[in-house]
Amino acid sequence: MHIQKRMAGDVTILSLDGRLDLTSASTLKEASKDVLSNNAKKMVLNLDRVDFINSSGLGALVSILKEVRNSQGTMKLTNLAPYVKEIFDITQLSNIFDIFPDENQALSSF
Amino acid sequence: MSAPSITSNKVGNNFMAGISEPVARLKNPDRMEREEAALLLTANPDPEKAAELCRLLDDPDISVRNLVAEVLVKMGETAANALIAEASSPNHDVRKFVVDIMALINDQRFIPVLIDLLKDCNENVVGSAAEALGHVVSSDAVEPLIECIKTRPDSSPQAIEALGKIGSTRALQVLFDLLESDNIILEYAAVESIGKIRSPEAINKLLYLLQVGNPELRNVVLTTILKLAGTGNRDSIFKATGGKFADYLIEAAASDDMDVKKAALSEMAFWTGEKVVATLIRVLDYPDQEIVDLAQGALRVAGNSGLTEIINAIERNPDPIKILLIEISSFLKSHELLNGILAQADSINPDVRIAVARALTKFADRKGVAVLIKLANDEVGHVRAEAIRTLGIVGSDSEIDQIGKHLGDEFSDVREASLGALILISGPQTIELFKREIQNPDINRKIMAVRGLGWIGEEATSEILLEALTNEETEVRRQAIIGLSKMRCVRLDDHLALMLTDESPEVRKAAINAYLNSVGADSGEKIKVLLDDQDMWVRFYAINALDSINDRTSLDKLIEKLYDQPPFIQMAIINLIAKYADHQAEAELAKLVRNENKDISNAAREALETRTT
Repeated sequence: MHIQKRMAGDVTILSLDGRLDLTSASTLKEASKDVLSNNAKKMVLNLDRVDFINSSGLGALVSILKEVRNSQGTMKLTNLAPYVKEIFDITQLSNIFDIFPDENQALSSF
Repeated sequence: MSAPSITSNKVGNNFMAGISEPVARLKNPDRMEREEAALLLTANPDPEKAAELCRLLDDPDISVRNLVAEVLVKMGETAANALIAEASSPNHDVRKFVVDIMALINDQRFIPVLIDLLKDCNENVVGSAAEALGHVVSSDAVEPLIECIKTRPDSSPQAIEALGKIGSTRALQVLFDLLESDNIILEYAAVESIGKIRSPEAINKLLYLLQVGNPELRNVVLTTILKLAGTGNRDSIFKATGGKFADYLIEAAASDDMDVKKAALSEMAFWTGEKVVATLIRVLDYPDQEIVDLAQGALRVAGNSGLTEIINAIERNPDPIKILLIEISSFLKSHELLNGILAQADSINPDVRIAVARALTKFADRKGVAVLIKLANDEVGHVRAEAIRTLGIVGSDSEIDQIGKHLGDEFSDVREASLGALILISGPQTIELFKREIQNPDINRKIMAVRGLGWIGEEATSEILLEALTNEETEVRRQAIIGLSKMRCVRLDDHLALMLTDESPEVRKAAINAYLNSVGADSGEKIKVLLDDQDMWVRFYAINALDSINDRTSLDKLIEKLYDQPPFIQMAIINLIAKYADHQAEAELAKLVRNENKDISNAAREALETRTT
C-alpha cells in the first residue's frame, strides 16, 4: 500500500492507495502514529484508491480511531468505494466512524 | 455594447445638463439599460463621473438614488473626493445619503468630514455620521463622539455604539457615567460598548454590574460578558472572578431570555465544577431541542468535572434523560462512570439497555464485556443486535463462541450483527467457526459463513472457500466465488473455467464477473461461449462483460446471436456492435431499422446515427 500525506490547513490527509490487509495494516498504523506524534489532532483518511479491504484492514482502522480519540483528536473517512461501504455497514462500523462522500465535505465538518 | 438608447428628451433637458451619457442612462425607464449603465460605470471608476453621480443623489426617483448610491459604493475610493464635496450639500437628505455611502466605502479621508457632520443641523445626518465613524474606526473620532453624546441626545445611541466599535479606553469613563443615566436605551448601549472595549477595566466594570447593577440591565450584562468570554477573554474573567463566574453562568442558564440561556450553555463547556454539570443536566429535559443539544455538547466537554452528578443523574432521572446521559458518558470515557452505566443494563426499558450496549463501545474492560455478553442474550432482538455489534468492536477470541451461536438467531438483524462482529474479531478461531458453519444444515448459516470468510480475506480462508466452490448449495458456491474474487485469490483462476459452466445461472454470472476481474481484457474467448448459455440473464451478463473489455473478436458471434433473443438482449447486442466500426455490423443494424419492434428499430437507427456522427 502506498500512503500519500498532505495538509489542508491544520488537517492531515492520508490518501491510501492499494490493498488494506494484514500486510499493509502496520504501514497505515505507523503512518497515523507519525501524524499523532506531531501533535496533529485532525486527520482524514481518503480511501478512494483502496481496492481491497479485509478484517485486518478494518481492525487497523478501528485501532487508529482509538489512538486518535485517546489523543483527543478527530478522524474522518472519505471516498469509500461501494464494496468498502458494504463491509462498514455489515460490521456497523459506519456508526462508529465519521464517513463523508468526499474530502471537501470532511474538511468542512471539522 | 449597444448604442445609447436614451435621449435628452427622455430624461429632461435642463436637469441633465452637464451629465454625461452613461450617468444619464441611470435614469432610463428601461431597467436593463439602467443596470447596463451601472455596470459600465462600476467597471471604469472615474472621479468626474462620480461627481456627476453625486448630482443625482437628490433625484426624485428613489430607485435612481439607490442605484446611484450602489454605483458610488462600488467605485470606492475613486468617489471619495466627489462625496466629500457633496457632504456640504444644502439638502440634508443628500448629506445623509453621502454619509451612509461613506460608511460603506470606509476611507480614512472621510474622518474629518464625518466629525464635522456630528455638528450638522439635521439630527438624521448627525446619527448617520456617528454610525459611519463606528465603521471607519478612528481614534480621532473618540472625543468628538463623546461631545456628541453630551450635546446631541437624539444621536447618542449611535455615538455610544461607535465608541464601542472604535474600542478606545478613553471612552470608558463616559460609558460608565451613562450607566447612571435614567435612560435604559442609553444604558443598554453603554453596556454593549463597554463589552466591545474589552480592557481589564471594562471587564471589571461589567462584573461589578453583575453584583450591584441595575437589575433591568442584568441580561444584557450577562450576554456581554459571555460574548467577551467567547472572544479570548475567558482567562481574564476567570482571574477577575476567582471562578465565581460559573455562578453567573448557572444563573444565565436558568434565564427565560433564550439568547442569554443559549450563550450561557455554549460557554459552560469551558467551565468546570459539579454545579455547572448539575445545571447542564437539569436543562436536558428543556422543551427546546437547540437548548438540549447545547447542554449535551457542553456536558461532553465539561462532564468530567462532575462525574458524581452524572452517576446520580443516570440513577434518578426518567428514561429519556437517562439515555442521553449514558450516551454523554461514553464521550467522557471515565471508568468511574462505568458502574453507573452497567447498573442500567438491568433496566426494564429496552431502549436504556440499547444505550448501555452502545456506550460500552468505549469501555473495553472485563466488566463491560461481561455485561455485553449478558445483553447479547437479551430477550429483545434489538438489544441483542446492539450488544453483539459492540462485542465485535471491543471483544476478543474469548467471545467468538458467544457471538457465533447468534448466527442462527431468529432475527435477521441479530444474525447480521453476529456476522459483522465475527468479521471484526476474525483470527484463526473465527475462521475455524466459519468452517464448521459451512457444514451446518441451516443454509442461511452456511451462506453467512462463506460471506464471513470472504470478508476476512486472509490466506487461511482461501482454502476453505476453494472447497466451497463444489458445495451442493448454489448460494454457497456463488458467495465463495465472490469472496475469492474480492481477495484476488490467484488459485480461483484454475476453477473459473469450470464455474462458468456451473449448473446454476447465478453461479455462472458470478463466475463471469470473477473471470473479468481476474483475467481482464483476455477473458473474451471464455466469456464468448456464454453467449450460447441457455439462461438469458447469463447471456446478458456475458454481453455486458464483452462490452466492458471491448473485445472485437466476438463480433461475428454477436451478430450470429442478434436474432431469436428477447428484445432486451437484442438491444444490448445492438449497443455493443454499434461501437465497432464494421461494415457487417452496419449492414445488420440497417436491417434492424425495419424491425417490427419499435424499440429495436429505434435502437438500431440511433446506433447507426451515432456511428455516422
